[in-house]
Order: sequence, then structure tokens, then C-alpha cells
Amino acid sequence: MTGFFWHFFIYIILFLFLVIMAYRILSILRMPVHLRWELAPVLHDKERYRYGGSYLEEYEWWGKERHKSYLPVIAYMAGEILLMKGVWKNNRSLWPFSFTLHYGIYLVIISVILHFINAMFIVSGTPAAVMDVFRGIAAVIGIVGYIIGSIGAVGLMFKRYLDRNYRAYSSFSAYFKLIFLAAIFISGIIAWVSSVNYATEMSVFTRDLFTLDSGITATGALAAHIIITSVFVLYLPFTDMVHFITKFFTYHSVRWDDEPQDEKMVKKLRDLIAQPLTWSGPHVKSDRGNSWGDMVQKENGKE
Amino acid sequence: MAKNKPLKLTDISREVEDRLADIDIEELIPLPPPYDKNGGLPGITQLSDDQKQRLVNNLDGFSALALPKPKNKEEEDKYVRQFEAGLKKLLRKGDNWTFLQPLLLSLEHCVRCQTCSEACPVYIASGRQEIYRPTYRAEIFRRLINKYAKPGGKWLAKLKGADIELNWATISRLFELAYRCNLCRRCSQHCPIGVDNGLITRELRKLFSQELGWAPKELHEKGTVLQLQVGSPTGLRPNVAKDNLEFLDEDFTESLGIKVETVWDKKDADVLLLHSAGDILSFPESVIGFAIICDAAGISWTLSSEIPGYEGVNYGVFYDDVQLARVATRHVQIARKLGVKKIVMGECGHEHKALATVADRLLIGDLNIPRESFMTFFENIVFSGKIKFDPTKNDFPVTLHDPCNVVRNLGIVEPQRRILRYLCPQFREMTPHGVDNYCCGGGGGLAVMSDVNINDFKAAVAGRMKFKQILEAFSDHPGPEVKKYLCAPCLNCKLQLRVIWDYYGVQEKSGIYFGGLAELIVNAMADLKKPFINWGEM
Amino acid sequence: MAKMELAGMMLEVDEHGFMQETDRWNQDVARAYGALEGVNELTEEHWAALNYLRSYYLENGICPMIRRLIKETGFPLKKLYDLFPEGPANSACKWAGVPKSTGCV
Ligand code: SF4
Ligand code: SF4
Repeated sequence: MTGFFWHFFIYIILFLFLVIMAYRILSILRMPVHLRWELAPVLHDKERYRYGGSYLEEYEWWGKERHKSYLPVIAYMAGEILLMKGVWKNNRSLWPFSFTLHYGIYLVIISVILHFINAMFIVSGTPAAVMDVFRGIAAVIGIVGYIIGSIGAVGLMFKRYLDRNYRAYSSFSAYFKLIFLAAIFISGIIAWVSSVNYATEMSVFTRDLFTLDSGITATGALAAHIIITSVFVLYLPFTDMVHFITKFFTYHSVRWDDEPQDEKMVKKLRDLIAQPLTWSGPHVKSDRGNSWGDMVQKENGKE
Repeated sequence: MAKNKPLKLTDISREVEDRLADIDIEELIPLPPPYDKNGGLPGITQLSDDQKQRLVNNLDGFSALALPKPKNKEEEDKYVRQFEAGLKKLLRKGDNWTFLQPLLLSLEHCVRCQTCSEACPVYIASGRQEIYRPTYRAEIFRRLINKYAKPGGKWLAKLKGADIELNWATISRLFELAYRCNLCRRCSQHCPIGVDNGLITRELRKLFSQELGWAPKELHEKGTVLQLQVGSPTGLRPNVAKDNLEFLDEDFTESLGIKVETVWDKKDADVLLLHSAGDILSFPESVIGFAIICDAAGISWTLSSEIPGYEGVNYGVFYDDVQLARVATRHVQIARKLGVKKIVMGECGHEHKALATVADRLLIGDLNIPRESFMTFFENIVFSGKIKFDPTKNDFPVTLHDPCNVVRNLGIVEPQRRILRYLCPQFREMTPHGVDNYCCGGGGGLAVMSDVNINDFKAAVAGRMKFKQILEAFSDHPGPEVKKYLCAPCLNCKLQLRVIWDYYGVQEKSGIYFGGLAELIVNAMADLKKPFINWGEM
Repeated sequence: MAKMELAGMMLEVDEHGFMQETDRWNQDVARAYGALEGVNELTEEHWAALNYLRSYYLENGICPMIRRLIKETGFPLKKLYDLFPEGPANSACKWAGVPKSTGCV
């Protein structure tokens, strides 16, 4: 396929991806303050985080200054993202596949970034020697990513199907996700193998994409690979795979949210306590008042 | 029955009366001797024929709720419709702002990696019964929410192959299943994504309670409702509470040879001690211990005799946000009226969780009275030098149980250990401990639930991991000749331990006694002529 | 609600056989409960404990603390277990016709 089809196709998908992701993130951010539900270890608690302690260990904690440190938080996040430490520690048999799948994805993303850099080089007329090095790296990272990614995706598919711990929990959509991912990686391998110079082709394609060049072209296996990958990008925000970003919230907004009430929060809480309540359990007595506050403070369970 | 057949998620809606699992003692993980031979141990009480006639019994052969069978199809359908309405309310801001964000985060991001399963003491101890897997309950609930509470859900459920039918069988089984979890959140701690299956269980319980009015009697009718009405789920009224403490003051003054005096309703005292009334009734050494320590340290303290100011429990933590808020609000209102500087939460884990964190954002404005754990309160006293200690008085093997609601949930880990390391020469840790501990098996309200045969589940299954690690911590002195002390600083945990102890005869076979932290502190006081810990002799 | 026939009466009981309508209790009910647990003859010592339990309950709406029971009857805990096979809470209270105690006790 040649010409503006690619521009339309890819830019619309990227646009939709960003819009849907932004929507998902915003809807999390806009959710009301919730009751506290923290869980040790809370890693920003300086020093005490080592054994899971919190500021509540302090005698009359409300009069003491709080010491927070984000280093352990960053170290933890890095260990999770780079090594998938949690799975390594608590679910070893899953780790090889999970790790390779994730690294497949990371490497493919890195290779896309490298193609983009190469595209810039082409535009700016960087000496061929430099470009060759970058293209070489992109090519290697790309193929390694495709290969280990396929191992991970196919491995997980088998694990889901064969292991009794997973089978009952694997709906059609769980397999579908993995098939989709495997399709990306395997189509990548085919495109890589069937191309004379894969990295150059990708770099040129990327350049044409962002210079809006009507001569943009990709055919055969490469075209298939690009299309599959793009459609996946559109599909991803609708799935639990958004955990790559929402994991931030499960940790920071729940597990590690140990903020005592402050003025700003109290203002929001007053609004929430004035919210109507419609539960029909007889003890709630939602017919006798119209808000949380009425229900809780005035009624107070008394007859 | 279903024993060896792999269980499917859709089995939950199987419209026949058969159980999804049968628990066989032989399949549970083995215990150390002398509890390794199942032959000599009690089995699991089966429902009587009469109970089978009357009660819903379609899950695992246990009944925690004694749910009566509905009279007809109309009644069944009514409950199913209510449940469906409740699913929607859980996602509504006004009705569920309290937990909307955590709930949605947990519902939408599970990747079904099953990392959480291996962390769950109930699941592991049961010999990995599918039905107790943290994700079994959670995934069913997730699919029901997706299908029945979200636009286009029915259609999507088919498309995704995640279709579960909501019918009477589903909800009656889910109701029981919601009470096979200790809300200990060990699973949540292990989830690499941060999904919280304990929270999901609690939301499920909330739906039943807040929409259908279904909750265990011990938690609701004879729990929070009774507490707000007469003062305590135990039925202890203010005058009886005072009378009991008068009796205890005298009794201990006599037996210890020192003056013990409980202070009531003292205006402007520094500290309002908020015990659980169950400690007064069943473990009075704890309550008296507090009084002795406070007096010895010269603390200005008081108890309250106002309803429910002498009863610190708040079962709302286990099943209902409205009741949680009501009880917590009453507690701080009482403290405010007395004009105390702070509330010190007694040896009760869920009281801690309720007052220190969960209700923190409900107790706003002038309700925000400082609340402190007895752990830090005691640590401050023990190391203040105000009391002289003689640790050799505590020279017996001691181990420590970590109540989930204080340790895993609040991160109060070290103060109690610093005290024990100082006062108990033979203190040893269990494995694992601290924030990695195992629940006693009575978490999530199970400790106070005792209907039909659920105690057998608590002793044989839910408490199994804990029991195993307790025995292992004392493996250097397994027999009853050496008296050993298990420090379990939480009333709920103690009640659960009592169920385990009765079930296996632990005191006679192993010589392990359990009690709180206050008792160990008092027992080590140098000025006390007589031992405070009585090793169960009465 | 479960029902149970005892001493010629149909009683409402909970799932553990504790009476729900305590005013329908009489001494024959206590004897019948005892017989169910293999105690065929209620001695004076049994009655001392049962009467104290029951009157305390009627007055205070709750069972007495074990310590109180021990002090009032003069029976040490072991003795109470000898008299009542399942112990004070599970046997004695039941025989005395008072509801099972719940709520963190
Ligand atoms: S709750 Fe967490 S650990 Fe458990 S299956 Fe879901 S993502 Fe995995
Ligand atoms: S909260 Fe505890 S008992 Fe419940 S599923 Fe999780 S680990 Fe198991």
C-alpha cells in the first residue's frame, strides 16, 4: 500500500489511542477521594519501609513531622518494570514467559524509537556511518524483541491452556490478547526475514510518515506487520493491559495512600458526605434523609 | 461430588442443589505432630438432615450464615433483582464514593496471573481447593459487574467468553463464599498489579448488606445494630460493664495485693481507653493489665460508660460502610464529649483499622480526635523508665502473632517487638512474620461468627496456616511440660485461637497459652509480688 | 428457625440448640438438655450453677463472666467442665435456657 492511506491510518489510530488513554486516566483521576485502605509496606515511608512500618509507629504521630522518601518507590518501580521482581519472587513458573513477553514489547518499542531517530537522521542528512550504526542496532533490537516476544506470547498461551491454575480463568478474550500479541511478533519476524534491509525500510517509512510524504510505501509482510501492530495499539486501551500505566494508581492512590485528612481533602469530603444515598438495605434508612451525613450522623442507627 | 472435577467459574450458577466442593480433612496441608494423624482429631461436622432441609447448602458443606431456603421462585427472583440493582450502586459515586476508586482499579486491571493465590492462607491450607482461591470469588464478581452493571455488558460478556449467569444459585453461593475470606489482604500484597481481592470480597459483602439487608447475624443484627442500641454486640449494657469491672477490680486487688481501680467517665482525662467489651468478659487480665500499667506510669486515663464507649469493636469494617461510619462516629463523639486529648485503641485489630485509617476520612472537622494504637502507647511507657521491670519474670518461650489489621494494614510492626525483645528473654519470631504474617483465620469477622458448623472451617481450614506456624515456632519445646506463651494482641485473634485450641486440645497437648501484650508487660513489673499470668489456672 | 422437641415441648432454638424463647424454660428442659449430653441426673451442684446463670442472665441480659461464675459457685473451671461436658458457655448456658452468647465473647 502506498500514499496517504498510511498517514490516515496510523495518525488516526495514534490519535484515538491517546484520546482513549487520556480518558481512562482522567476518569481515574476524577474519581472521588475514597476511604483509606493502605497496605504495608508503604514504600515512601523513609527507613521504616524496609520492614513495612509506617508513621503510625510513632508515639503521638499527629504531632510529628513526616519523613518521606521517593527513592525506595523508584527503586521498587524499576525492579518491577525491568525485572518483574514481584512475579519472580511470588510466581516463578510464570516469570520466564511473562518476562520475555514484556521484554519483547519493550524492545519493539525501543526499536520504533530508534527508527524514529534514524528518520530524523535521514532528514537532517547525518553521515551514513552514524546512520548505519543506529540502523544496525535497531535491526538487532527489533529481531530480538520479536523473537523473545513470540516465545513469551506463545508460551503464555500454552501455560493458560495447559496449567489448571489458569485454564478456568482464561476466557476467549485472554487468548485473543495473546494471539494478537503473538501475531505482532511473528509478523515482525516474517517482515524482518523477508526484507533485504529491514531497518532501512522501517526508517524510511517512519520518515515518510512524519514528513507526510505521499510516496510512503510498505508492502507485503511489512505492511501486514504495521497494520497488525497499529490495530493492536487501538485495542490495548480497552483491555487490562493498560496496567502499564494504571498500576501507578493502584499503588499510589490506594496501597500507598496514607495521607491523613487535610483542609483541601476535608472540603471534598464535605461534598461527598452530602451525596445522596440510595441503598435499599433496611438499616440504611435511605428514605429518612437524603445524604450520607444524614444517614450516619443524625440517624446513627437509633430507632 | 464435585471433589476431583476441575471447577469452572460458571459452576457458581449451577442450578442444582449440589455443592461445589467437599472438604476432606485428609486433603488439607499436614500439621506437625501430634496433630499430624487425622484419625485422632475431630473431623468436620456435617449439617444435620433437618438443617439440610431448611438451609441453603450448596457451596462447600459449611454454613456460616444459615441462610434459609427461599419459599418459592418469586422470592428467589426478587433477591436476584436486588442483587443486580446492588451491582449498579457499587459503581455509583453517591452510593459508593467511599471505595469507588479502589474498587474500579481492582476490577479493571487483573491480568489473571494467579500470583495472589499462592499467598492466600485459606487457599493453600485447604490443599488448594479451587473454590477458596482469591481469584475465584473475585473473577466471578468482576464478570457479573461487567455483564450486569455496565452498558452493553451482556453483549460483551458473550463476545469475550466471560458470561456468568446471575440466578439464585449464584447469589446464594456467593453470599457464603464472601465469608470464606479473612480480608487479610495477603493476596493483595502479592499482586504485581496492585489488585486487591480482599477489597473485592468486602465490596461483595457490602452489596449484600447494604442492598439486600443480608449479613451474618453476629455482625449485623447482634453486631453493629446491638452495639448502637445497647452498647455492645455482647449485650453488655453500661451498668453491667461497670458492675463487672467493679467485680474485677476487687478480684484482682485481692489476688495481686495491689490496688486496682478502673476510672470511669473522667472529664478531661488525657486518654480515653477504648477496649473491646469482649476483653472485659472473656480476657479480663487484658483490661486489668491496662489499668495497672496506666496507673503505674501515672497516666491520666478513663473508660467511658456511654453507649458504645466501652466497646471498641466496629464490625462495619467487615461488611458495611454505613454501619462502619455510624459506630466510628459514635466513638469519637464520646471522646469529644469527655474532652480527652486522645483515644488509645485497645488490643483489637479491626478497631485499629476502623479508627486509625478506614474511618479517618469520615471523622472530619471536630470529630477528628487524635487516635493512637496501644502499641505505641505502651512502647512509650515501657521505655520511659517510669516502671521498673524484671524480664527474668518472663523467662519462658514467647512468640508473637501479628494481627493483620494492625500490622499488614497499618504498618505498626516494631513497637510491640521492641517491647518483647526487652521484656521476654525467650522471645522468638514465627516464620513468616511482620507484614508477611499469616492471618489467624478469624479475620474479616469470622472470629465472631459461629453459626451452624463454621467453627470447623475456622479451626481446620482458615486457621491452619497460623496453627502450623505457631507449633513450628515452639518446635524446641513441643510438649506440654514447658509452658509457652503466644502473644496475640487482638481480641478477634484470641477468639479465633480459642476455637482452634478447643478443636485440637492445644493447651493439654502442647502447653501453649495465649493472651495479649499487656499481660506480659504487667507480669514483668518488678514491684508486683505475684505472677500476673496464671497459665489458664482459675 | 430451627425447632427441637424437649421435655414434651416444641422449642424454638438456634442452630446449636440454644433456646430462643427463654421464658418457656423450666427445670425439665434443663434435665432434657443434660440427658442429650449424657448427663442423666442433675445434682445440686448442677442446679447451683444453672440457677445462678439463669438469674444473672434475667437480671443483666447477658451471661456472667466465667470468673464471676467461679467465684459465685465456688467451683473451679475444671469442676465446671466436669459438671457440664461442653463447658460453661456451650453446655451450662444452654441448659439454663439462655441464648448463646455472641459478639466477641
Ligand atoms: S489479582 Fe493480581 S495477582 Fe491475582 S490474578 Fe489478578 S493480577 Fe494476578
Ligand atoms: S484477603 Fe486473605 S483470605 Fe481473603 S483471599 Fe486474600 S489472602 Fe485469602
